[in-house]
Amino acid sequence: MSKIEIETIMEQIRAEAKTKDFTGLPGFDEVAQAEWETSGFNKIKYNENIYDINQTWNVQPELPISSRGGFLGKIMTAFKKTMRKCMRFYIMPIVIAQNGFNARVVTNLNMLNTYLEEHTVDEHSVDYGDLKYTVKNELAKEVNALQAENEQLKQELAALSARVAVLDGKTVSQ
Amino acid sequence: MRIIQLISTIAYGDAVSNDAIAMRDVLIQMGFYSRIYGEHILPPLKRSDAIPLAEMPQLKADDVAIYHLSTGTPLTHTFANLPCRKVVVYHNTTPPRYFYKNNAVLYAVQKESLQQIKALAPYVDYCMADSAFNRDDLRAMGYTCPIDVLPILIPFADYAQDFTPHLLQKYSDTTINVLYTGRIASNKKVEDILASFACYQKYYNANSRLFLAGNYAPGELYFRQLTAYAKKLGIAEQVVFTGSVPFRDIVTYYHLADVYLCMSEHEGFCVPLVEAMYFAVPIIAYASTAVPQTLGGTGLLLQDKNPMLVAGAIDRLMRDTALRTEIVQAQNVRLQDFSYETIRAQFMENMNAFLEGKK
Repeated sequence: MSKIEIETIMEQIRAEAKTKDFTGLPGFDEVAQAEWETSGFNKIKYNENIYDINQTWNVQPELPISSRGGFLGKIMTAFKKTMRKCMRFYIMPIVIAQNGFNARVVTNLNMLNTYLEEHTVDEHSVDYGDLKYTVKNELAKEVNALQAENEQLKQELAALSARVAVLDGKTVSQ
Repeated sequence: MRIIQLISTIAYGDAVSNDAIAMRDVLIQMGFYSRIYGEHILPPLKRSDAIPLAEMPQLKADDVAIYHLSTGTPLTHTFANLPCRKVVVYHNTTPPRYFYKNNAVLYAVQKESLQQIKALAPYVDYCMADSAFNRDDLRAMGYTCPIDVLPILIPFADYAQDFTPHLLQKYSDTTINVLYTGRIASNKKVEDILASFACYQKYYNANSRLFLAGNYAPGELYFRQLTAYAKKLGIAEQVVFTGSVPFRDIVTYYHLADVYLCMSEHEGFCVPLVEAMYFAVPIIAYASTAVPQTLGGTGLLLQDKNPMLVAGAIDRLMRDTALRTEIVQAQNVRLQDFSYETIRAQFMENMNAFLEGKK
């Protein structure tokens, strides 16, 4: 194919495309952005998963063998134990390799978690009267909740004080 | 004297891995002791294909280590410190900017890859690059050693496989099949393929489907972005994401394809283009990086990614039998440049010249 031929063909394609009622397409970037936003980092979920994987990384290669009892049960138990011994040479190396991999992954995730805890720079600041300071994300949520609770308690206290003042026949100055 | 090859990950069906295995076979045919050592050897490859890196023997000054360089890995440091002669086969590495928005891990890895490749320059005696684009890339990164262009050694004999019956049964119909093969990675600009196909569906031929035959991780953000985009474009039902499939299936998809579409913005060589040539599938490709060099004037090379133009090009190819035949014939001629015998001879010539000190 010569370049000239391709250019001629492309000119024909361009001309034909102009006759179509092309109304444009949705952009990829906005769809991509929406997907990205739903995949944001969730520290609470991350902490839960970290806890779970620290409990479950070490897979046990041999499950306990149980039986329903009786003569047949004993035979079945003996058979299962024999089978387990026979399969051990095949199963054990796989489980050991998998557990080694699991241990490395969990160790790295724990290290990453420690790093996150140590290096999280939070932009949330707490404004509580004279006290103004910046804390970590989750802590900020807790402080905000405590602030709200404190505000509610103050209102309840004020209402109670007002009722006490009425009962005592006194005027409460705010 | 031993000639060993080092590779980070060696996997079945992977172009770089196939290149290493084919080179090893040629080196053995040349009479050398040759083995491949890999950091990660993925099944079903066996010990006869590659040996774990930990078992690499102590090399001597007259030995040669060939390193297949395509990503950042601690193997680069190992290679740099070997006491032997060092050859790099450069397959290029994807610039990190393509992963900035959708894969933080790959973004970091690729950033380090570039630094590693630059840092490796003074340690290397000789390079072979898959394409002139790759050669220029090495030069730009400070490689002053001799560099030859050597296309990837493709064992075409492996392509002579039976087709997968259930795929043939499912898709052998009058529908136009547009094909992309390769990793579902953001440098491949799969979103541009989707947009072009959506235009083809809406404005030219609703009786069409798109095969995206390549590996992806199901939860991966880029994959989720693409599936969401396909839904938004209203083509989700016409798009088939195959995921990782046996090579036999890939061969079947080539057999079923009416046109091969490549919108990639970064390719060091692009083996699927050669595969499409082999299976006589006409190619429409965006002219970026090494793609024009691999096509060598064949295929329908586009300078513009406007999805309507790409759709128009697909339509033209489907309607214009003479054009289609001409393109396929030209591709077939180009394919001879990548024949196993041609590249094998070139590789042997390069290695002999290097070993004789002429490089």
